[in-house]
Amino acid sequence: MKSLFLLGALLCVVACGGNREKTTFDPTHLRGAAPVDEHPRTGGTFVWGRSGDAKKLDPALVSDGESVMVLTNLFETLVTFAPGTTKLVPGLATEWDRSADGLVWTFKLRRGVTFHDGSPFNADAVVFTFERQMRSDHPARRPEDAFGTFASYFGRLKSVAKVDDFTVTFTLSRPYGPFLDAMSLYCVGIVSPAAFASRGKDADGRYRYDFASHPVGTGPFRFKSWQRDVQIVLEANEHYWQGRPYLDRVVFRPIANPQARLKELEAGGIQGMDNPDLIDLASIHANPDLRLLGQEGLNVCYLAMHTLKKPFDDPRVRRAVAFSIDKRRLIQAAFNSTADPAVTMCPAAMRMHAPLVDRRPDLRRARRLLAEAGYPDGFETSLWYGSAQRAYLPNPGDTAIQIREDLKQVGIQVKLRKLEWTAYLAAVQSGQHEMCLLGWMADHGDPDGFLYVLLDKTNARVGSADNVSFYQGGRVHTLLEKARSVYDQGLRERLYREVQEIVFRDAPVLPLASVRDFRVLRREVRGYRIYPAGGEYFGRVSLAK
Amino acid sequence: MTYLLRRLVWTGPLLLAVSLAVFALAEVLPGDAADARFERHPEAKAQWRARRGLDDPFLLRWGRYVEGVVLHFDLDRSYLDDRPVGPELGVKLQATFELTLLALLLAILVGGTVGILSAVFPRTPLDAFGSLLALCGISLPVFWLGMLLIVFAVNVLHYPFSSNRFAPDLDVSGFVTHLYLLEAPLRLRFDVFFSCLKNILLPALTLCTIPMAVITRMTRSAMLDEIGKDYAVTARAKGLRRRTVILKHVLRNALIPVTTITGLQFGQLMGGAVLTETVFSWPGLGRYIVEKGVEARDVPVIVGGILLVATLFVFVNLAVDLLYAVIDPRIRKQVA
Repeated sequence: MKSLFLLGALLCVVACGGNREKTTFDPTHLRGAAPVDEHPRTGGTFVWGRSGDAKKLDPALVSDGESVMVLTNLFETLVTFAPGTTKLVPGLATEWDRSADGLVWTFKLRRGVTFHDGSPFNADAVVFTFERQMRSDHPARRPEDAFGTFASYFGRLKSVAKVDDFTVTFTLSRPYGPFLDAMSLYCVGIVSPAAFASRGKDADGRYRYDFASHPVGTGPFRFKSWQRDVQIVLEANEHYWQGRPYLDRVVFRPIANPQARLKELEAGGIQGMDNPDLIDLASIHANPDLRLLGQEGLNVCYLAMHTLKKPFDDPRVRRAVAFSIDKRRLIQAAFNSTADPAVTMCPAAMRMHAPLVDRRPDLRRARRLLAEAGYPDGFETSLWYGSAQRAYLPNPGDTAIQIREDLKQVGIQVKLRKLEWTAYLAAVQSGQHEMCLLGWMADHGDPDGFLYVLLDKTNARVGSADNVSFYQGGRVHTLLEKARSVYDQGLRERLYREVQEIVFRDAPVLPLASVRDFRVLRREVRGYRIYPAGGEYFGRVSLAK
Repeated sequence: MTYLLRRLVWTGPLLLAVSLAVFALAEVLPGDAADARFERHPEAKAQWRARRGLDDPFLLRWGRYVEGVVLHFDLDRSYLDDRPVGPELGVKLQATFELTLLALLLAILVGGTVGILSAVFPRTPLDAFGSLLALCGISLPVFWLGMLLIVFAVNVLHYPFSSNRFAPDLDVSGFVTHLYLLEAPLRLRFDVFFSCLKNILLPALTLCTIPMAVITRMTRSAMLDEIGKDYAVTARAKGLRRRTVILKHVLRNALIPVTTITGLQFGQLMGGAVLTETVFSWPGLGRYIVEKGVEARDVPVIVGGILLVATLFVFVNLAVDLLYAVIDPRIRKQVA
């Protein structure tokens, strides 16, 4: 379908005799923020166009971007991001402290905050939010609720306890370096216990209230209505503790086709949008009615090699692959020049990224490495990829073809295997591939979320592996475990640096690119910022006349 | 009357067979939406399957489904979030119905007029224009035409295009149906009406091209067939005005095949306007079945959606048959 639209769009250009050629557009000078007015105007409806509808509006149950960008306006966490960064600042908690052994965290909560339903925010609400995702007998949990995001970030959280109305303690089983970062995740956005209780319980003792369709939080906007596949309407929270937001109303609208979305932005039907088609960037930038925002993305697209299968069990072969692929050309051909080459699995815009110097494409060296490994004439292998576009992989097919062509030059014959997305994910997670294309996006600013998940051997369980190169590096495992179990940021940085160096040498994965984030706004939009860890935050946005 | 009764009686088994076929098809699909939902929690999935009775024998599940549909209008619940599928299908159906109705009205109006004129003035520039229009209508790809219309509307006409059904700040909470275009004038909510009309125009124009082309060609050939027949010549010889002969006698006889084809087009558009709905982000039935059902493998959406479209088809055909009786007195006698 997508390619049909692309074709359609191209035909349009021809038909209109348009001057929109495919020019290489340099996105590095773009900014990630719209200007801020000194005295922002209050009022107005802000319509946000995006590619799909939300799935559910319960922060504990979802992980898809379309749901999360609505939730970040409805709910707040104890610790939150400073605008437009991954730096952590107080949110619903005013201060925090941890015990000397690093196992008990104490949070002081903000006073005078109320939920959208009028009930007070206090320690009970915090305990409720966490226990709901920890205790299987919790009344706000149905048997099939998976709480996947919580499970992957809060494995070391043992218990949550109320000390007094505005003090909560969190007890961990082991120290957890990225704990504060995890506290900023949307999945622990504080929910209103009173809302859950408002419809009573069913025969199994579970709350009847359909929270995922009628969410109640403390955020700058409150939920008004949801017509599925048409629009989600949020209204200003008049009693917001930081003061009423400038906008009266925020509307999220799914407009699947990026060209139609852009046209509607030009016509003024919507005020902002995400995921513009990359071929449109130059013409958007030239349009005086629009403002193109862009910044480095907290994501990485990579080529994984199955390190337990021949010939990729030999690091020399993997290094040969790394020497054969020309990332710059790949980014030109398959990412419309709108991505940055990636060197390590920790994106350059992330904390503790090790600034290593990348290999230069060197075919002679690649051939020599192959010969040393016993493959002087190369070998045959397969490259698996999912047919669906991802945020970190805008053109899966072109990317795969470019890699195939690069590897052909050193005698590696690559067969491409394209699968539908869910089938693809299942196949690579159970290790059916030899090479595969995948990527990862940040939920918060700590590298643990990338390096541990994608490279630690405990995440290489066949069937549910996120470490899809099935890399077993013992030293890397020790370093990663250590780094996630200490709080000393200087020490952690040194540990992660060593991890990145080892992985670079060992090359179980070849990081390819970090795709830039783009948003398009109408000129009159003020105060908007791209948040690198995902989500949209419209609390400070205003519309100039 | 017996004819009508017979048709109605046959409808039941027909739909039953359709539901069985779709149910069986869904059965052989590899994987379903629940796989993604319980990706990392197979034990929760087993519990959920047991609670939903999905491990029961095939025929038992089918029987239960049919019972639910017949007795409670219940089209089962989504595998993704356990929300009932029926009401959601209902909302999407209304959106599609409104769009299809307008598109078909446009198609009949334009296609019918051009078809009649082409038949009355065959082999004239007018006829050539009619043929060209039909050719364009049938061969312009919908997704291309849709985009072209949007670009033209926004960049040339500065038309305030929006793919929403109406402006997002309008309050329609009091509305009973989702047929905003029909309900708004009844409630004297002309702000909603004009907002809807403004937004439905481009998708309706896009969607009407194919039925318009078909109706144009069909009307032309049916009219040409009838115009040359003895009764038409006789009527002219009796001294009737040409206009009377064409509009009163010839047109009426030519209407039978045109009605058939229009009915078929209507049925097709109800479930098959996927491309138009996608280009314009129209929250319609076809797109819902494809995106939320087929692509996400949400089995109840697929089964319920196909069943709904099949039911519509059956009833549209029934309505067409009844229309024959209105148009042709001979059929009326047979039916009676």
